[in-house]
Amino acid sequence: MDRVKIEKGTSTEERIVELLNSAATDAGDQSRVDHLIKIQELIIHQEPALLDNFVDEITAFQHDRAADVRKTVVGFIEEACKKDPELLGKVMHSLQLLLGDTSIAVQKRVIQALTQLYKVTLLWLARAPSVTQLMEKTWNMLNQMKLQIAKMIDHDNDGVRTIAVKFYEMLIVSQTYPEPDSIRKENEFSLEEIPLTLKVARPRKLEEEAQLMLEDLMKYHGSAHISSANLMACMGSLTHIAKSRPQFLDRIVTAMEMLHANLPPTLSKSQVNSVRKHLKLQLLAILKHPASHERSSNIKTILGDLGATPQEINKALPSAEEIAKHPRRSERAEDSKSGPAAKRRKVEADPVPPIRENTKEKALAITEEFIVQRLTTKGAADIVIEALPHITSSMPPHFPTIYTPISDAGTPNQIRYVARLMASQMTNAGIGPGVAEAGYVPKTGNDFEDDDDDMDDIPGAAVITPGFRGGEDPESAKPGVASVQPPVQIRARQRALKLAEIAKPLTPQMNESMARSALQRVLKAERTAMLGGVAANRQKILASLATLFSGDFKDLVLEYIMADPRLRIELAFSWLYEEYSMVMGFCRQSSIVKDEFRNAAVDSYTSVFCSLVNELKKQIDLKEREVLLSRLFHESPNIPEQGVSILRTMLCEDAKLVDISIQILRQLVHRPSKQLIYLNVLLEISSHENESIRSAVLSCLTDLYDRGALRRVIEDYALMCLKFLLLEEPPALLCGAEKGRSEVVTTWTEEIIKACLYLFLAVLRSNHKLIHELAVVYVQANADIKRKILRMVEGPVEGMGMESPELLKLVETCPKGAETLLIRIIHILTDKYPPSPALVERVRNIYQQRVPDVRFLIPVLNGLGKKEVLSVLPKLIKLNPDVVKKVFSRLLGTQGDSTATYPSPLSPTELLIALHNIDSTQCDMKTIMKATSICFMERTVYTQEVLAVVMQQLMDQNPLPTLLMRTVLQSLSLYPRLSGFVMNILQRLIVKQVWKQKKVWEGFIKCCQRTKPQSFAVILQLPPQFLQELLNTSPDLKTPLVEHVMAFTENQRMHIPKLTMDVLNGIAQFQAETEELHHEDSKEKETGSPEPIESAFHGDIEPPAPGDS
Amino acid sequence: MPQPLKLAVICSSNMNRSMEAHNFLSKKGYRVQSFGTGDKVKLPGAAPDRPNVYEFGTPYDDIYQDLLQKDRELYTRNGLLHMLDRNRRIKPHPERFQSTSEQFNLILTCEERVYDQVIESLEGRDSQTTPVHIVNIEIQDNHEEATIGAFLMCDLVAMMANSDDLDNDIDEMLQDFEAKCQRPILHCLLFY
Repeated sequence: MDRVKIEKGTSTEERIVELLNSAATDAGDQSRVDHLIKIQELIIHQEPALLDNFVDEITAFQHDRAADVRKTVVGFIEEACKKDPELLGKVMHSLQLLLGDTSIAVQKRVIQALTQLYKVTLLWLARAPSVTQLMEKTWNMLNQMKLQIAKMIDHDNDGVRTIAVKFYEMLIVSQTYPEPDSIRKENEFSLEEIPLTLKVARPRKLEEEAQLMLEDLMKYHGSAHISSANLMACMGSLTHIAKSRPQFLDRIVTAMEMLHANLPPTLSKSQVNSVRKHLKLQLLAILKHPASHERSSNIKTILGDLGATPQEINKALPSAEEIAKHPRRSERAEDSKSGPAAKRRKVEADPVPPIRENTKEKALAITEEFIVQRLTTKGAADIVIEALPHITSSMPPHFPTIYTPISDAGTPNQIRYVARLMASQMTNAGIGPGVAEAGYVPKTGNDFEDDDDDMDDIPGAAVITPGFRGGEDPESAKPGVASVQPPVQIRARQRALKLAEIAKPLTPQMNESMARSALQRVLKAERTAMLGGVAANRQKILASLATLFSGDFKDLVLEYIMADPRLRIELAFSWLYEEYSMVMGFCRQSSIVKDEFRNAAVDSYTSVFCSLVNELKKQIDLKEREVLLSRLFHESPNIPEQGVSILRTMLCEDAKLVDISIQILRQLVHRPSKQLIYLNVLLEISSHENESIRSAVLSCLTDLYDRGALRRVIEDYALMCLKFLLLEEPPALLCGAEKGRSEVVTTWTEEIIKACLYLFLAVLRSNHKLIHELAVVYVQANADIKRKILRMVEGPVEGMGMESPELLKLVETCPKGAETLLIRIIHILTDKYPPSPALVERVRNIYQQRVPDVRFLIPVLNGLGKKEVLSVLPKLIKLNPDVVKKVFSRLLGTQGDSTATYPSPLSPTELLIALHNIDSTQCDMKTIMKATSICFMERTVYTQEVLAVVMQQLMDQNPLPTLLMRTVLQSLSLYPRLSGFVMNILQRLIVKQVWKQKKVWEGFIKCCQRTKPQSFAVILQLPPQFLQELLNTSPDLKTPLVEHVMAFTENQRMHIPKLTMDVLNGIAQFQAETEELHHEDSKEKETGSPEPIESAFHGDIEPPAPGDS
Repeated sequence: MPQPLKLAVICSSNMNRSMEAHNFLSKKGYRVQSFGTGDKVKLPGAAPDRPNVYEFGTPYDDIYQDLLQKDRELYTRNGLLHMLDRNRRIKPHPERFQSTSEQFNLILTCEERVYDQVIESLEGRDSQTTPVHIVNIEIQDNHEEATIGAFLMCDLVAMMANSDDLDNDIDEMLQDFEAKCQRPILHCLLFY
């Protein structure tokens, strides 16, 4: 009794505290509930101000072990929030927890509460001056719960489904705009209350969502497995929606029509009755709404069929005035354009189009028309006769209850109605002309599961969802029998079929093995599918299966493809695309693709791609292997990194695949996003050991380079390689299996040097500027590398031509140390073509101003002036004999195999003469002699005529060139036929007092010796004094000469001067003195270089030995 | 245990069938109320075209007195007085369902017309979220049938009261019940 006292004497607040305490301590579930209810009563109805203080204490009871207590808490939260929306932010979290409660009753209660609170929340948001963070958070939470509830339409529990349907209804009504003729109820919420500016909940978004939800609800309404309670809840909700939102009335009436013609086959007899009755009531309710006017004839027909009396119908019909008040929808649409509500309607004008429903309606209309035209008396009779055998012998027990006599049989109205009934059944069964034309595909069984993401959780579910449909025979669609269920089914079934209860989950192994055998059957069905014209579908199925399932499946499909890649490559592609869609998340409804999932998908895609390529690669015998490989690379949506490395190994390892791989890469390089990756592969392989691979890659690269797209990258890489040459030892980068060098090279071998240069030189052809880089590297490189560069540079430089401005620039600016390179370059350039003036000019400059190395001039000799050539000639002939030979052959135009004759600054004659005239101070005799010998060896140039001219000209000089006689002798030994000419020369020499020049004189004597006996006539012409000298020098001449003279006729002998004869006869002793004098004179002269002349006059005309320098 | 069901039994005039069941069910301890859905309370009169008509709200006792006064013998013979006597011991006067704002978990009706009127009445209200099951069992309007009906309803309610989750189980229960009672059953689900 103490307690009563306290309660009486204290404030409400204290009473609440008291009650809370007892609620917390009381052991009885029911009494706790009672306490809580009392508190709720006190706070909400008596002291709302206390709400804020106690809400936390009360929500704490959400963890109570008794479901009833938790339910009460939900009830409290609902009431509290209705009273004070500000509490929403506080309690939303509790609701979220409670929504996941283990007790179905609590869950239901939460959904119920949310059905109320959703509107409250929206209103709270809409009316708030500004949306706080808390509000946004609350709204997001609520949205999450909304999704959860939306899924509950497929919940196992009937009651939960029912409540979820109500939630749908509330959402659809709340998130759409009312129309003028909407039936409004107090407490109703609509989009009108939400300002357009509300960011967290955009009216447009909400409306779209509502449209989608209506779509879902109608689908659910039409699904075959729906239970009667759900169906009635659904019908009720749809009716409510139709009345509140007349814009949906049309669609809803159609949905009900469809339902009428196709009641779910799972309903029992009494359920059918209840449903039909309910349908009748709902339709009557809709009929009362003025907006239904346009569909009223349809509705009336159905109502008649459902057993409504004309009185009932008439009672429900709105009065004429109401209809008149209600403009036709089509007209209203016109009006609205200028109406005040135009803006809002515009939003409505393009809601998410209910495509599926539309096609269905279209299909229905087409089929209906089709049937109307054919439903003649005879046609109907035929159908009845046809259907008779299918009708059971006894009347189904429920037939009389649902059968209503047809009052207006045979009228056009009734015919049309029957046609519509039949059409809706046919359309649902997927037959009839409308189905084909409108492309409507009826969904079987579990429409809803298709839309869920169950598929992701249990892969098997997608495959093993059984289509559940009653077996209505569309032919039996006669009025009154339309919705009759096959009687056998009814009797056999005592309880409604609840699929979810009967279906037990398969064991994973079972699941797996069934799925696998299904796959195998599909794989085997290739021919069948082809014949059946569904090859494309089969391909799609296989691709999806392979994608959705794990490794085994992939292996099976892979194996299958590889059994005949040529024919099955399309399957491979659709598989790849399927995988790709998974990667990109195209296959999933939710836009949020978890990273984890995405990674798995990427891995899967990669492995599929790689195994396809690898397997295909192994098919060596396949003719189309290359084509298919290249298709795989080109047509796949994406090439993973591993794919690129496969390509690389393909390139390096399989000789047969080199070409195709390069082609593939080349194509791929044009794909912008990854071009560098592909290009890099090409670049890396450009230094490959294998000639054929390398050249293929190089030509591809230069081609790319020429196109200019990736110039920079290629260039950089080439330069990088080039600069490797400056390193101590070759970088490891150049070695490795993919380069064809499996061993690591640590010294600069020839091969590795080359490897650095290949790409550079290839690119050099296209970009001459790079030559400067080469020069820089050349200067710093070691001798081995230099030599290698010199050798390799030939091709590219030749290609550049001497007109290349960059080359000329290099010549001009030749870096120090690069002279050898430069000479080499110039040589190459002028090897086949005469030097251009520009080149000559630059070389001349360099020679004159910077590097006085005569070797520079050699290549451009032909471009120099005569004088210049003459001036450098002494220097030139001092060079290595081989070089001299080359120089001459250049000058003489006899070099190499070149047939091009181009003007030389010196004619052969001039050259030889010039050689004779070289001052012995500039060059010693021996060198000159060697040079002349080289000339003589060119017998094609120095013919006897040329030599004759040379000798002739030399003869005209004064003093005579020292080497004159040597040349004469040599000419003679080369061309004995010149002897006559030589005689002439000798004779002229006498005139020129040949004895005055000692060397020439010695030569003269030699010549005489050589040319005896012809020379005798000349010898005899010598002044006696010198004749004596001659004979002294070569006594062996004397006897033949005497004999020669003796052989003369007397008359001839007369012509010989007396003194001469004396000499011949050995009389002229007086000359000894002069001779001696002469001797001394010559000795003096000889001291400079006696030997060479000696040897020169021994007339050795053999070419110098090759090794002679 | 879920909260006990809150029941309503409804017939046309809240006299015979609903009161019989009301009597029966309340004796079994269920939370039950009874209603009529007609415009007026009609009781058979001296001739078929002359029924006794009262407003809802007229106490059973008044009606009893009225009939007693009109034709004691007739109304004793046809059992009306006996019925009214029982009724006045259960509650003061007939109630009209359309006028009540009480909410129930389960509404049992005794004929299709009543069922229709109940639905009509409920649908006219502001539709909320609390589900209510409405079940119709055809019972002819006479004393014997009313008694049988009361038994049937009692069976049904007993089944339902034992269910942990009525919303989920009701479909099946009704099927079983229908098979047992061999009467057409109507059922639908509405919301308060």
